[in-house]
Amino acid sequence: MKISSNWLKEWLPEGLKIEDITNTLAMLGLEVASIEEVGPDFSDVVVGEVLSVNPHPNADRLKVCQVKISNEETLEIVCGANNVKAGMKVPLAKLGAKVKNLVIKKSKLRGIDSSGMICSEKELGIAKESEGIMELPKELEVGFNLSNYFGEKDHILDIEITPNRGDCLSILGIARDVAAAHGYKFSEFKTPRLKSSDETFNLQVSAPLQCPHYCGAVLKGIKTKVSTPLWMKDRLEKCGIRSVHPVVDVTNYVMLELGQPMHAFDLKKVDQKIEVRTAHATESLTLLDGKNIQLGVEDLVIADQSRVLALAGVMGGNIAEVSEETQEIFLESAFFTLEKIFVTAKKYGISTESSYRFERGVDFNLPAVALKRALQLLQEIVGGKSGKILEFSNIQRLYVKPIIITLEDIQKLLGINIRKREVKKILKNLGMKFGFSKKGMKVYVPSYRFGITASHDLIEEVARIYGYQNIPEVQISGPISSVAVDQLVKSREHKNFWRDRGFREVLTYSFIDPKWYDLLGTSSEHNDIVLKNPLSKELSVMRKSLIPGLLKTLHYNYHRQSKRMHIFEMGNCFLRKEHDFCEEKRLAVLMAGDIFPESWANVSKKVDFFDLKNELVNFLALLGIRDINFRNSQAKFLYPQKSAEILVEGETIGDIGEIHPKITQMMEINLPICIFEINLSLLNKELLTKFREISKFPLVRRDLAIIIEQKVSWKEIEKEVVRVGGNDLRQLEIFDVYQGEKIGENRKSIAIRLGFQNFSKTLLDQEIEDLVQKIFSALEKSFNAKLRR
Amino acid sequence: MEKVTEILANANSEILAAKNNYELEQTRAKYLGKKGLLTEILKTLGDLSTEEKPRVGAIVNEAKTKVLALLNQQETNLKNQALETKLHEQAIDITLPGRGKDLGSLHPLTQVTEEVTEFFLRMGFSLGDGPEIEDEHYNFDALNFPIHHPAKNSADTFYFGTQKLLRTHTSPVQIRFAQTYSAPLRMIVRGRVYRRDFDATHTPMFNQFEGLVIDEKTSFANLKWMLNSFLRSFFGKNIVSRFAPTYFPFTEPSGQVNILWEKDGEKKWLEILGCGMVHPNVLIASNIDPKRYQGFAFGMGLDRLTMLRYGISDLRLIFENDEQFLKQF
Repeated sequence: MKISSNWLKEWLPEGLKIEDITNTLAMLGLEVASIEEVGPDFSDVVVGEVLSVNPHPNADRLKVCQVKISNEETLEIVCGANNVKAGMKVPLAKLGAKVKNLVIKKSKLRGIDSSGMICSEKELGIAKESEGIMELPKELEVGFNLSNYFGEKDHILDIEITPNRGDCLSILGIARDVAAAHGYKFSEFKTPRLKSSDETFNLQVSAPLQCPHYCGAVLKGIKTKVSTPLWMKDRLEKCGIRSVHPVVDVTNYVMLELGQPMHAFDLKKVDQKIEVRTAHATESLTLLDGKNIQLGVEDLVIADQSRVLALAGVMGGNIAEVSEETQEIFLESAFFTLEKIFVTAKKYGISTESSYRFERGVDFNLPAVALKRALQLLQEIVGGKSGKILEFSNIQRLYVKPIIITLEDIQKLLGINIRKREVKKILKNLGMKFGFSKKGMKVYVPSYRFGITASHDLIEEVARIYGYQNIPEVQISGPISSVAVDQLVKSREHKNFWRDRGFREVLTYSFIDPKWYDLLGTSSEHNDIVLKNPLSKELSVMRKSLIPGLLKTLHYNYHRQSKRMHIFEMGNCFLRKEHDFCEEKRLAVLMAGDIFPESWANVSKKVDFFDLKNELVNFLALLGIRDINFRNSQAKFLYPQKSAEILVEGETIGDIGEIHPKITQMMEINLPICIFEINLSLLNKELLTKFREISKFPLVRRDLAIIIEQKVSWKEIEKEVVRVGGNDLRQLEIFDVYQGEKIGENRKSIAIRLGFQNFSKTLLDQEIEDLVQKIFSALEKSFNAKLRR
Repeated sequence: MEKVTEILANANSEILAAKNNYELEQTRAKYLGKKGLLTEILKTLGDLSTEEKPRVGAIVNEAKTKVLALLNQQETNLKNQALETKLHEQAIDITLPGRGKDLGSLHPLTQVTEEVTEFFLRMGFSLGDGPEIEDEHYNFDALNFPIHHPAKNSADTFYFGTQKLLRTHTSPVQIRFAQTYSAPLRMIVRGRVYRRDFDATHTPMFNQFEGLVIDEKTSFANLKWMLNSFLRSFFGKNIVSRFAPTYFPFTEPSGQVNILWEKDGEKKWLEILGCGMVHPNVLIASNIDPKRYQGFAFGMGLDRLTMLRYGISDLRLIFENDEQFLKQF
């Protein structure tokens, strides 16, 4: 909410500087988002009367004006404003006058001397924006020096009012809090004495639960063609409200001042009565902003005998709108419940100054006071005679029950040593009253703080006024029950592994573009989790894999000159499980382009399946996992002959492989891309390494080269060798794989190195030869292997 | 006699003059070989008298030893020289870059997250976790949000159906954790949260860090100590902070912590943390007796903290994953 600091100061003791006020506000929880200095910034500007306006002979857009500034002196001024007219009173900056940083000098404009400047509100620094030159009230005397006319410099404070502080959506409310912070009791607003007639009107409240308090009065004999006084306009504008009509301006002014939203109806257009009721299903209403709404039976409206006049507490309709011709009004000042206004405003998507306040809660005791204040101001400004104050009140049930609070409660929660006297003073200054109770302090909460319903609410009030800055820092103590979730702590170690291996961590959005699933061939209407209200299609489907994010990152950087990317991401993926959602912690790693960075010393070689496989196996080893198997993958986005499903202890944890060339082509990426993704949630078993004795006897190596059918996998060969080799086979490495003409079609040559070692003796040559022969024979028998010579 | 002295002198200069092993071996043969000069003299020893024999013998042997020492010395010298030359020839440009892979990088957000986590783990906090797709109950109702709270709105919150949504804060994990482990407890949670906002200072997904301490006497004064300790650890001991009241549905009293932060030569209060004493309704929702236990909670934006730590100007950079950005960390 924007407020003028000068206006606020009127409600505060003298001598408070703007810095004091803004600091206090911040420490009260009324955060000042911005401070803007405004105010007149000129000297030697006087009231001038425009005698004549003639077109400039040499310029279409300029005018030559004769402006009288005293009986003796008339100046010729060249002016560009459209709204300058003969007979207007205007602020005129004389030669030598200062307007902001400008010193007015005699100047020639297209051949005609201009002896001064007619100013706009903006130029004088009394408004942020203005159109054309400023028109002064006719009553002002020609030659009158305007230096003190617009008041002093002012500051516009933009205060962020939290949802629990509806009471601070007014000058009164803010002043009340500031006063308490400075340690004195605020002198409440005194209801003005009002002269009023007995004139009454038919008022009927048919929805007393939703409208527990309704006040209204007629005001008749209003002068038309009266303008809102400058000081009021100035205040409204500073608070961000446009001046429209003196009657409306007064209602807005009182709303800013006291916090009571009000509404004025043109009485001549009201048919016989004012009724607060719920709408009928057939009714509709054209709002002040021109929008037509079809009402529902749950909507609370203000109606007359025949039609709906306003959406209660939200916005008026155009039927009984106040206009320039309005001579009599019905003025409404009511309390509608928070819930009702919240639901209505949300339903129609409308937020007005009025609905905003009602949603947060207006003081249910305020309507009568505010009504009198408004009528007082109206009588001063537009004249007229007010009728009887009509009041419907059903507010007894709205009062908060008294709250019992003890000093110990306060001390224990805040950790401070406050005295009872101090607590009482703070609460009294905030408008609380005390009753008697044996259990502790019995506190009665004023109607404008209806949100305070329990002792912790009161403790917050004590803390605010006591000052958070005055609460000491006390070291925490007490028992610790530490149950760190291991996997989360470990994730740092896992990330470090990839960083150390040369990979960059990326973080991509949890929602992605569904086109990725189409591209990867993994979209599924039943399983994709789609946001009901996404910001855009690009961010509309929850990721069920990290792969799209990595590919997108590669794509982004590839088309920005990165030709080698080794990246990884660790994060949650979102899947459907039966009728519920489930989240999996996953890791995905991508290698594209060269294995090594481009350098004089590095071999230039593109990544392939085995580069990434090695990284994966090493990572799993870090997790203590050694039982890893690979079998052909079914993933559609992978190169079918260069991809695999990863199995740990027989359970599938993910896929690894080269991205299908069709996809790289569609992404316009001319690099081999290797990728794997695994589900970390499945690897949450801590596998402890078990130490195995080291043999003291020598290890003897033998090489064996065989030719075998191409379709026989290394895994099968390895399994057979291990089975036959028995306990003495301690080492098994494959050191060459060859396919080519020399070997023959559909065949390959494999060279393996075998290491033999026994725990209790040195193996004899013959024993070793026998073992090698046994292994070869087994391979020969199982796979029709031939010895390669 | 003189002859031996002369031989020794010649041997000395010849040995020193030897430029390589071959020359050195020649010299060795010349003096110590079977027909070497000193060997020859020894051969003539038989012609000498019995008195002279041992004396001359001793002199010649001494000369032999000296020559041998000189030869060995020179041999070592030559070896060293040869090595030296060889080393020089094989000199490398030590300023050339090394071979192999470079170090990768951790995302700056991860680095900050881990630093913050580390601090609280050392303080005896547990690390909690919870789902990102939440129930309206845990995200709002259990956290004491009023039935008609503006945040419960499809304009601010991402929904899947009527009850399921993307969590708007990490606070639901407080409830889940407290329900599981009960009081007393100290826990932290970090993770992704989502709100419907996208501009230079808002991304629809961002990261929060949150802490919860529940005990019998944990007070606002403890909260101040905890958070100021953290700020001093993270920003350095000279950081200036202030606590100001604010409003959250799930805490009361609620506070925000500002730090005095210099930007473009101007010092300003910057909001960095939200905190407060856990609202009794939240304790009840967590199955904790509010008459016996009380405590505090706090939360902060990790993205914001990351931006401050590294001077990152635009939040959107965090999730863009531009290599030029990533490789700086």
